[in-house]
Amino acid sequence: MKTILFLSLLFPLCAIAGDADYKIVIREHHFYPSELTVIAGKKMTLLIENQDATPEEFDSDALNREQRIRGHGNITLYLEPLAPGHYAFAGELHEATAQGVIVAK
Amino acid sequence: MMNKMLKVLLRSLVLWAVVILPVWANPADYVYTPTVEYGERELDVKYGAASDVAGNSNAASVGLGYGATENWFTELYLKRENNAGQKVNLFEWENKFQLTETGKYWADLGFVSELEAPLGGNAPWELRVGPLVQKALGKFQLNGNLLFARAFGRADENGVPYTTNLGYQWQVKYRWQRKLEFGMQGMGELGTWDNWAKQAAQNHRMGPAIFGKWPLVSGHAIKYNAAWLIGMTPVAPAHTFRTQLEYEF
Repeated sequence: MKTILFLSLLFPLCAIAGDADYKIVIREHHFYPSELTVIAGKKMTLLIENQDATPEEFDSDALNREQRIRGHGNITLYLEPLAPGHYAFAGELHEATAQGVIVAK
Repeated sequence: MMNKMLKVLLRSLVLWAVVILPVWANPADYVYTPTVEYGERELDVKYGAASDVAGNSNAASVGLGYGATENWFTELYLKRENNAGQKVNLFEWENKFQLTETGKYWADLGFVSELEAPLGGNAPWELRVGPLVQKALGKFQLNGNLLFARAFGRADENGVPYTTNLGYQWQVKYRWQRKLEFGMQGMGELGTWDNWAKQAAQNHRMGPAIFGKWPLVSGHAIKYNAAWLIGMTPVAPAHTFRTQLEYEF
């Protein structure tokens, strides 16, 4: 019971969004920029801001991330250092237009 | 065309669960992960079967889940368990909480609580809670959970007082391709949380597992995982097959 009470104190834990290393904007179901260049081998934070009124789902198998973003909301992704290469991502709810890639150099 | 296929798939999924439920019963345990997807809606079907010297047991469940917030996922289940001929129908309410942002700290932390209530019969209620931990190492995903379970309510028919018992789950998964990932998983029960049973009386099982996600039309997908667990101690079932199918919409 003590364990349960202690663990309950951990809820809720909200991440405080500080300054992110990079930023991507969703507008009219497109990503801006659609190609983002980042430094390879360095841990990073990526802020994704959804300027549309409808939700979007950021989905990337390469980055191992799948997260829904509320309309007019934002999320911060905490990514491990990326090896040099291309990492595709998409907006799962508007795949026809919401496509992008992160290029790690 | 795609909508028609989706409707057929959905009807098949529900029909499978309805057919399975009256024949077998008992949802097979699955390994929890600490991540929550806000806005996710899912139809979840589980099935498990185990064989040991005491006889065969099996379980099935059908559930409806929803990612209510960025940190909270809630799911309601109907379950049927058949333990060597003793059958019981159950209602379960599961809540999962994501406590840390994915990737922000050394490991991701979550918490699960599960409340199970019998639908008739003499079975007791059961509460199961515990921390969930996940760590990504390149393409590998590691999970480890501790689960504290306690029955309460109707007294045990043999007069044995209920205790808080400790169990665990672990999983190693290689993210080969989204549609097919593979790894190992294990589960076990150690006995009373502060006075473990002797090793021969503990229940440990482990074995290979497969996982995957098949995307459908935008925002819809089928997720699956299945495992064949082999008993590692005398009291564990010699073989357990467990599977879970989720339709996300």
